[in-house]
Amino acid sequence: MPEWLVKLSVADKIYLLLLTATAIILTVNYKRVPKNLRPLLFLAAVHLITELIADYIHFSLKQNNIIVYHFLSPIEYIIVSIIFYRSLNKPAFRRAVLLSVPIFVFLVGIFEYFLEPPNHNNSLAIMTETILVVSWCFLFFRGLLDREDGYQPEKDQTFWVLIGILFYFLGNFFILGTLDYFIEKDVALGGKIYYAGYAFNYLLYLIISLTSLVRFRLAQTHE
Amino acid sequence: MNNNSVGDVLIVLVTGTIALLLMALFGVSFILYYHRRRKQTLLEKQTLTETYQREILQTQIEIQNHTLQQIGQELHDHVGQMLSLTMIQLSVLEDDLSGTAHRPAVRHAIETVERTLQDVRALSKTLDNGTVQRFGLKESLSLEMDRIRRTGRFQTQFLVAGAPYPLGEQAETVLFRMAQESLTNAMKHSGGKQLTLTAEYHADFFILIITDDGAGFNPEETSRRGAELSGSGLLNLRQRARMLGGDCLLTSRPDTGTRVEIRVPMPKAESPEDKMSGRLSENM
Repeated sequence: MPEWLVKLSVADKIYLLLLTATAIILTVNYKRVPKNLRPLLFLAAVHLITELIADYIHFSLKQNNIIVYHFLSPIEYIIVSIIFYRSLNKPAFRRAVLLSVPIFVFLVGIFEYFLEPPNHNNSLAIMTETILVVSWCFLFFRGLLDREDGYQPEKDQTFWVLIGILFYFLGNFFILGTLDYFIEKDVALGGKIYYAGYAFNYLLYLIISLTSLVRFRLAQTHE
Repeated sequence: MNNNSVGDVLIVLVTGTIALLLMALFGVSFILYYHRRRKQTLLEKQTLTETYQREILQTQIEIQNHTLQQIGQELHDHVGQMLSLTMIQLSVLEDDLSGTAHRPAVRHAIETVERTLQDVRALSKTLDNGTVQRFGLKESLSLEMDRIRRTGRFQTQFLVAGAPYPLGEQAETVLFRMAQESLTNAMKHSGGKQLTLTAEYHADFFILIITDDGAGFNPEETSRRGAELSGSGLLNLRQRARMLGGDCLLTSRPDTGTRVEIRVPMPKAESPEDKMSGRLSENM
C-alpha cells in the first residue's frame, strides 16, 4: 500500500472505503439499478478518483490540493443533472435542468477567473450548485404530490436517493460554503466543520449502497 | 488512533446522526403528507363522481316523472274523453234498440267501455306525479295495488306496519316509482300470482318490500350475463335508493319468488324555511 494512503485520516479512509464499496455494489447491480439512477455509478467513481488525487497531492506531493475540487464541482453537477433530467416528469422541468448545465459551467468559469482562483476554496461554485440541485429536488418532490397513479414514495428507490442527494448538498452548502470564512477566523473550528462535512458524504453513499441492495417493489416510472 | 482522529470521527458521528435523523424526519413526513393528500384527493374525486351521478339520476327521474305525467294527462283527457263519448253514443244506441235482440250486446259493450274507462283513469292517476303529492305515498301505493288487482291477473296484498309519516315529496315520488318498477318487473317476469307490498314505518328508517310468489331466479347468474342481458333495473333501483341515502336489496332463488327491499332513512326534521316553502307550494 502506498505510504500516502497510510497517512490518511480515519474519516478519509472510511470515506474511500465507502466510495469503493458503493462503486462495486453499483457495478454489480448495474442492470437492476433504475435507468435514471445509473449515473450514480459515475458520481461514486468521480468522487473516488477526486479524493484519491486530492489525497495523493496533499500527502505525497505536499501541495495544495484544492484545485482538484474546482474540477469536481462542474463534473458532479453534470452527473447529478443527468439523474434529475431522467427523474423529473414534466418536460419543462427537464428542459430547465438541461439548460442549467451550460449556465452553471459558464458561472464556474467566471468565478474561477474573477473571484475564486484555483488556490482558494470554490465556495461560490458549490453554493450555486447546491441552490440548483436543491431546486431540482423540490421540483421532484412537488411533482410526486401531483401523481395520480397509485405511486408509493416509500417503495421508490429514486425517492430515497434524492433525499440523500438533497441532504448531501444542503450539508455541503453550509459546510463548504462557509469553510473559507472559518479557516480564516479559526483554523481549529474550520477543521472541525470540515470533518462534520464527511457525515453528509457517508450518508449519501450509505443510502445509495443500501437502496441498490434492497429490492424495491415499485416499478420505476420516472423515466 | 490518536486523539485528533477520535475527535474527527466523533464529529462525523454526531453530525451524521443529526443529519440522518433530519433525513428520516423529512422522508417520513413527506410520505405521511403524500398519503394524506392522496386520500383526500381520492375522497374529493369520489364525492364529485357521486354528486355527478346523483344529479344525472335526479334529472332522469324528473324527465321520467314529466313524461309519465304527460302520458297520464293524455290518457285522462284524450282517451278518457273519447271513451266517455263512446259510452254516451252507445247509451243512445241502447235506447234506440230497446226491445230488439241487439240490445244485450250493446249493453255488454257499454259495460266493457265503462271498465276500460275506469282502468284508464286509475292508470292515469298512478302515472300522474301529482297523485303522490296530493294523497301521499301510502295512498298512492294502495291505489296502485288496487289497479293491479283489478286487472284480474294478480292477487295483491298491501300491508302497512308502524305509524305512517311523510318522507318528503321527492323521496315519496322516487319510492313510488321504484315500487311501480319492481311491481312491473314482477308482473312481467315472475310468472307468479300473488304480489305483496309492505310499507314499514320505523323510527329511524322506512322500508318498502315488494315480494312475489313467482319462479324466482339466480341473481349471481343474471349479473354474470353482463349488463346488456341482465338489464339495468336493479342497478337503477339501487342508485335511486342511494340517492335517498338508503339502499336496495334483492333476494331471489329459483322457485322461491323474489323479494326487493328498499330501505331509506327517515328524513330529518324540516327547517322552518322548508316548511314555509312547502306551505307556499301547497297554496299555489
